[in-house]
Order: sequence, then C-alpha cells, then structure tokens
Amino acid sequence: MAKRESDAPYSFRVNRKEPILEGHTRNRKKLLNPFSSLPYTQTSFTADIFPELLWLALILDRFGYRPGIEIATPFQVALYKISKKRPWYRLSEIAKLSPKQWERMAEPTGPFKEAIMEALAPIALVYPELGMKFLKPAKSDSNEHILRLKNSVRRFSNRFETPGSALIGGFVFLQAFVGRMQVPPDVIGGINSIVSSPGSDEAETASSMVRATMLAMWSADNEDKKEWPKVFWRANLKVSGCDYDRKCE
Amino acid sequence: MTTTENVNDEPSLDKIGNFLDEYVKHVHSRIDLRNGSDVPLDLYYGHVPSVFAGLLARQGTLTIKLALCPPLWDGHVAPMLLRGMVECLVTARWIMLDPLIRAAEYISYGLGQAKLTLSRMQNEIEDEPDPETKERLLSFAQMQESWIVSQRLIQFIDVNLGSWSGMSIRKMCEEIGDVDLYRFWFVPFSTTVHNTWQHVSVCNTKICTNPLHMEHRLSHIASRPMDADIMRMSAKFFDKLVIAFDDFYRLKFHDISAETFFRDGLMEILEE
Repeated sequence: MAKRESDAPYSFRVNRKEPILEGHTRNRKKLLNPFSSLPYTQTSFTADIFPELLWLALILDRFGYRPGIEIATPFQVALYKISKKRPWYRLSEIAKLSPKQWERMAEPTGPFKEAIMEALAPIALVYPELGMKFLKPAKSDSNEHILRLKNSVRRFSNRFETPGSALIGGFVFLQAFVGRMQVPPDVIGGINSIVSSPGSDEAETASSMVRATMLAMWSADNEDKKEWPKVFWRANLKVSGCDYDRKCE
Repeated sequence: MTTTENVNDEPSLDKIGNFLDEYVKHVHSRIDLRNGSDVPLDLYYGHVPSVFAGLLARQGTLTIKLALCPPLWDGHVAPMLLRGMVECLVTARWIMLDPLIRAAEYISYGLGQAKLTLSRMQNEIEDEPDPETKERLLSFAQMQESWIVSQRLIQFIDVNLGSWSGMSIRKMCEEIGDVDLYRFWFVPFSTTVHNTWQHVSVCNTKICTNPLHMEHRLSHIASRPMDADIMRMSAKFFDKLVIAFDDFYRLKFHDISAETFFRDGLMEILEE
C-alpha cells in the first residue's frame, strides 16, 4: 500500500499553484467563497450526525472494527425486518424499539443481542431521556459508563481521523447491506483500507468517498431531525463536567 | 487615599509585588468560577459559550498583564490595553444581543482573516529566495492552516474585509445601550493607539523655550508617575464583562469584584 507523500494533509496547499482565494467573488466588503452561491445546507457531522451514530461508535469501540461490524450487521438486518421504512441507522430510532419487539427479534445471521446490550448499556443508563427501554441494563457504576462514553466520543467524533472514518465507513456498509443505499463496489471495497492501512492514499480516498456518500444521504434523509443531537449535547454538561487544568499559570 | 497616588517608592516593593500576585490569582479565580459546569452552557451551540469563554479570559489576560507590569501604569501604554478591554467588553455585550448568529459571525471573521493572511503568505513563500526563511514561513503557514481547518474547511470560508460586526464600535455601543462607553472611554483611549496629536503633543513633545523659535516642539518622552487608578480601571473593565457574562447566563456568584479586591488591597498596604 502506497504511503501518502506528506503526513501533513493540508500543508501542500500553501505550496500549490492555485491561489487560496481563487474563485472567490467580491460582494461589497466580503470575498465570498466559490461554494457560497450553491444551494446547500450545512450539516455538522459532530453536532448533528455523530449523536445518531453513537450506538455504532460504542459497538466498534467495545469490540473492534471488524467484530463490531459483524455484530452491527445482523442487528440492522433484524431491525429492517420490523420495518423497511424506518431509519434504523439513527440511535433515536433504535431507542423507540419496544421490549417486546426486542424479545421477538430473531438472530438470523448470528448472535448479537448480548453484545448489543453490553455495548449500548452506557446510553441506556446515562441518557434515560432517550428511552432505550428494551435494553434494561442492570444498575452499575455510572462513572464507568460515562468513561466509556467519553472515550468513544473522543475516538470517533472526528470524521477526519481513522476511527471517525471507520465509523462512517461502517455506516455506509450497513446501509448498503440492508439495501437502503446504492453504493458503488469500489467504495465498499475501499472501506477495508480505512482500518487496514490508515494514512495510505487508498484509505484517504476511501474516507473521503464514504464521507461524501454519508453526507449526501444524511442531508436528504434527516433535515430538521435534530432533536436527539440537541438533547445529547445539552445533557452532556450534566453528565460530566468540563475537563481542564484548573491550576493558575 | 485616592487610587491615583504614586505607588512606586513606599511602601515596600515586595508587599506590592505580593499583592499583585494575589490580584492575578483573584482574577483567575473569577474566571475559573465561570468556567465549569455551574454555568448553563448550551453545548449543542458550542460556538456561543466558546466565544464568551474566550472573551472573558481575554479580558482577564489584559488586566493580569497590566497588573504584572506597574511601569506601564501611565498614559504612554496603558490606554492601549484599556482600549482593547473596552472593545472586548463591547464585543461580548453586542454578541449577547443575538448570540447564535453573532458568535458565529465573530468566529467566521477570525477564520477569514487567517485565510487572508495565508493567501498573502502563499505569494510570499513562492517568491522567497532564502531557503531557511522559506522553511520558516512554510512552517508558520502550515500552523495557521491547521488552526483554520480544525474548525472549518478552508474552501467554505468567506473573507470579510470590513469590520467583523459590519458596523462601527460607536454603533455597537448604541445598540448595547451604552454610548458613554464609546464617548468617554473608547475614544480617549484611542488617541494613544492611533498616536493622535492630543496624545503625542502631551506625552511626546516639549515646547522649546527659546523665544526666537516661536514655541516649536521638541521630541520628548514625558515622565509620568505610576497611576494606580489606571490599574483600577482595568479591573473595572474586567468586572464589567464578568457582570455581562453573569447576566447573560443568569448566574448568581458572590465573588468579590476585581476592582474592590484591587482598591481595598492597595489601600490596606498604603495605610500600613
């Protein structure tokens, strides 16, 4: 696998011939970027998408990338058997699963229930406002659950780093697997390189392809569905206080 | 005592130094108190608390740095810092009137300015003949770019060539309902920043006394006594931002104001 020429992903920009302000247009006292005239809405991965993918991040964090996907796949298949129309890739949708639906859920392509219960226990215990009644985790040390959440958010919420790219790659793979998304074979093939050869040109290409694929699908499917992301980020202030060095310098 | 008394000879410098160290700790403690989970921050719109936290600490930094440099407590340099403090206060209070939009605009302006600098450096680096200088410039540019892209993709950033708020400080003061802040503080302090005649003639010229010279002026660096009132003012501007912050978040902390801490502490030392 070819290594990227530079370890600094953006530094080439200052060396390249194309000026940074190329394509900008002046409007009174502003230089507008070339994309400003396009009709697009901004979606924040961290603020709006990541909280909905937290379930997958916890699974990947708990069991590793490949075993995690092997657990998440039959889980998603089983969910889409309940209804093909519901967006089961969103945590807020999974949270609506009733205990009865969970009990009746078959494990056709492999066991996943125990692993799902273990991985998602922090969500059920730390965010009671979300629901997740089907999980019924035993009461246990909340500090440990909060620590697990903090670790997973820290690891997976940056979409430009390997874990974040793997999370998005996992999401795209699952959507393709359950038939909700048509994805070119080379995108699926490239997902593997994100975790097998992080930092390689192949992995970088695959990462940007899955990011673009996810954002295109997400924006079309989830406009104005930001209730859980807002609850999640706002609740986190009470879940765990600010971490910083308090000493006077 | 009045806080305009000269403090550079008596009492002992040690005592004053220790007191100023305590003042620095007090400012830190006021900031720390507002830096935690007791403040109802809306983390979904994290840019808003981030901007206010930054401006509060900026105001604290300016009063601390001034406190640590008593030789600056005169009309030569301190007004530059005080004007910065007034502007910091106006900025924060103006953003508080429409925080979601204005905090985002404030951040965008900063990112745009950094992008503009980067763009200028791009040409500079290309034309630089000295490899060592080129390397140094490249390293700075890379740092700058990393800082930008850690917050937003560089291609999506507009560059605002005007003022960040789209209006003057005077207009901002009008909107926050505090025109006096502009008239009696911002404008007088600006004379030092811009080196205008009312500052330069007083602080940097001396009239030639030769009657044959028609009172022309000579270069002069005027000696000014250290004025503790300048330091008290900086404490006051810090407090004003703390009050605005507390009002915005409806906080009820009862910590002593920096101005009271400074004034009472200094008075105690002078009375000993």
